[in-house]
Amino acid sequence: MKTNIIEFLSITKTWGCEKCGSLYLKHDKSSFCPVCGDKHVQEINTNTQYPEIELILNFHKNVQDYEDKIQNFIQPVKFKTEQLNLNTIKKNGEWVFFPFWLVDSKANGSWKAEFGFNYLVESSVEHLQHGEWISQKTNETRIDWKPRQGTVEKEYSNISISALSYYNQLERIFGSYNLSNDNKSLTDYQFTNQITLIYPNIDKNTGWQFAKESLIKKINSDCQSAAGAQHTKTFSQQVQFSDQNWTLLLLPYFVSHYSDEAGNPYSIWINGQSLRIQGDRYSSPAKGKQFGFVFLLISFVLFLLFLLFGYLSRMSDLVAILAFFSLLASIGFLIGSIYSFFYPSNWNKKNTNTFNKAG
Amino acid sequence: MTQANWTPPQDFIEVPSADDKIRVWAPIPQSELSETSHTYNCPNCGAPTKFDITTSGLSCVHCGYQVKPDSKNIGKAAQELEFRTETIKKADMSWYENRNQVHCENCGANLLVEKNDVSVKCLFCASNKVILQKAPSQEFYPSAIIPFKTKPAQVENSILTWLEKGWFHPKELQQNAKINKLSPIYIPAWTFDTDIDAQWKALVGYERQKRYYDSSSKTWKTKTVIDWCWEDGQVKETIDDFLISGSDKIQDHLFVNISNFNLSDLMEFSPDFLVGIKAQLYSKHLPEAWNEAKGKLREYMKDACYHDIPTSHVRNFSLVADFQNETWRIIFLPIYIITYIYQQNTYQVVVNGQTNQLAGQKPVDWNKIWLAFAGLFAPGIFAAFISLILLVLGTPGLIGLLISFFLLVIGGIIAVSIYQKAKASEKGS
Ligand SMILES: [Zn+2]
Ligand SMILES: [Zn+2]
Ligand SMILES: [Zn+2]
Repeated sequence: MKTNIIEFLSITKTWGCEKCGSLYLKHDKSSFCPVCGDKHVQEINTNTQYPEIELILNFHKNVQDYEDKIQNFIQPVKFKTEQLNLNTIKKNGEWVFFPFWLVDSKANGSWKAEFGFNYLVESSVEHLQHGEWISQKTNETRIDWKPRQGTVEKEYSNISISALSYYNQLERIFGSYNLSNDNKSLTDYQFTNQITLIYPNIDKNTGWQFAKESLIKKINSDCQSAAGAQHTKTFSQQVQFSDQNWTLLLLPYFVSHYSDEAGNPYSIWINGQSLRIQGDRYSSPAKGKQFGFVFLLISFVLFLLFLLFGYLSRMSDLVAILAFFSLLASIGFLIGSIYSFFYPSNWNKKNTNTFNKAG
Repeated sequence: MTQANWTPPQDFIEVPSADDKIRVWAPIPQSELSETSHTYNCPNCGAPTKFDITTSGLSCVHCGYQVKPDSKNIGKAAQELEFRTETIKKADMSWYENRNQVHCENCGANLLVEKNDVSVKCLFCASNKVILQKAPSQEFYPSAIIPFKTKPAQVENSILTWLEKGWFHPKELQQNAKINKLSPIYIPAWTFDTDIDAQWKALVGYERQKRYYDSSSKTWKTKTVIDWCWEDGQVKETIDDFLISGSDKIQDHLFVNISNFNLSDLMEFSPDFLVGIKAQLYSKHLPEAWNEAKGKLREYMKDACYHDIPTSHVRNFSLVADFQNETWRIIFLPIYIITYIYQQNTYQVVVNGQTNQLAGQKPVDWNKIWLAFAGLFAPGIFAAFISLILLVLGTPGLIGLLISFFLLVIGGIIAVSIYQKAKASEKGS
């Protein structure tokens, strides 16, 4: 199936986002940045090779799975802007994959640690009830700290580290991905023209610092379990790493765009694995104003009615009651009007600009 | 540095690893005692040496060679151990079951020994030896010892004084009791530390005077009523070095009465202390001893909680005593045991070898007790006779009857207390 990727890569163009600096591969024309949603993207001439893809995280491939999420997400928005509807979002949606490095390395050296070993102590609680003693045994776990030393000679494969400098920002939008092995599959995914691949922006030199850190953590936990311990107080090592191999793991997400009346872009992102949804929900101030004016007008008419009924209230009690209700209704519509004027901008403050807020 | 040029530290040993790509070294564990017997001979003349209580050192009777035991004072800091489930699993294992003989490397004889004896004397060459045996777990071998402090002569004196004391014992006890040789012995004892947090709850009654109108006598009267209410409270105690005897040699109630040991005299255990002095390993195992301690401690907590209640009216008392931070250790304690025979009966006297505290059984001359009872009741009975006669004669004797009743009651109370004392003395106190 790798041919599929190679084929896909051979017919794609490289695009770049002026705002967030992302580089990505896409088959057809790109008009939005798949990362930050900005419109200022341009085709770029580069001879940078996209690195070898080894694994893709399993994800929800059925569009239907995403629809409920989107529907529930946009449902609470009042005065939705015209394009904030399921159809537009579906139509503009695409799958995007962002990269993680998978590093393989040999580790060879020695280590020194102070490990903690759990043990149980017995204790008891004595109950005196109705003149009789009952003894109840309890257990408590305590830790023995003991020094250990040793050697390691092991090959580590697929140590995964982020290949994007802004991964933390993405994580705040997508939540964390579960990278355990059962969730990864070989690249048997049929790449369609609808997808986008984001280029790594952390190179192997910079990435190695993170990879080494993560390898040492892994060695620490391996040594801990090799020694039969449950905790680590200190761990130091003299390990040499060799024979590194770098490939990519792709993490999928779904992204869609829409614009407000003025043409400003907004994005909605969905984690392809957990289906967690985040994004901009734009409430249209223009729509709010329209409703506001209508309500204000009704309120005014009702107020006039109140004055009229008020004037006529001498004739009967019924008219007086009508006058009272007209006043109430007038006040009600006035409040509705004020609400309609101010709701959209208030709502938008909290519910748009998601990508920048994540930063 | 790669694996190839790394060498483990000197005092480390390779241990099993759960990962075949990782090798693990750990500090070499302190070696466990293996079963050995150590014979003590004088380095000067080769004669057997033994520990001399009077001089607190190993000495040679033959040439006068003296040496202090190889040990130091560790006091209450002597290591205390946790109740690890692993330790407790091993606690019931017997570690001297299969042993009934010891080989004397001095003369080659095989000696029969009592299974929990630690020190023996060879019947053939008279050498003293201390048997250090392989424990089921190192921690079950006493790690500290209180050496003998009171000298045998002192102890004999206090026994003689004690035998003289009290009027209701046979008069000729001191002369006639066949007091066997004082036998110093180290007995094993368990010490326990724990914090106890006790929460109690009970219905507590408070007395109140209440006035009420008595319709039959048409007057106001007062009566006592009790108001009940639920109360609760908390008592916290820190128990330090609670002693439980590990030996079956001396009776438990006698041990309790002489257990005023001062643990700041604890010395690091050395077999030197046992040379020529009888010493025993415990026959009461840790779980058994700890249960006994807990049984006593929870009753103690119950009393402490009751003590917090200001009235004597208590109902539905319940208590939860949470034991925390429990630790234990096993130590050797110095005790003199003396048995003496009086009129074919054997009586035990034990003396604390550190504090000279004494507890023992003493025969009672019951004839003396009955005589005393007669004397106690005589005034009452006599007074009763007189007043009855006075009554018969027609003079007012009622007051006399009251006085005689009063005298009888007092006599009775004293008699009961004497009886109890005599019984306790027979049992040992
Ligand atoms: Zn961008
Ligand atoms: Zn000598
Ligand atoms: Zn011998």
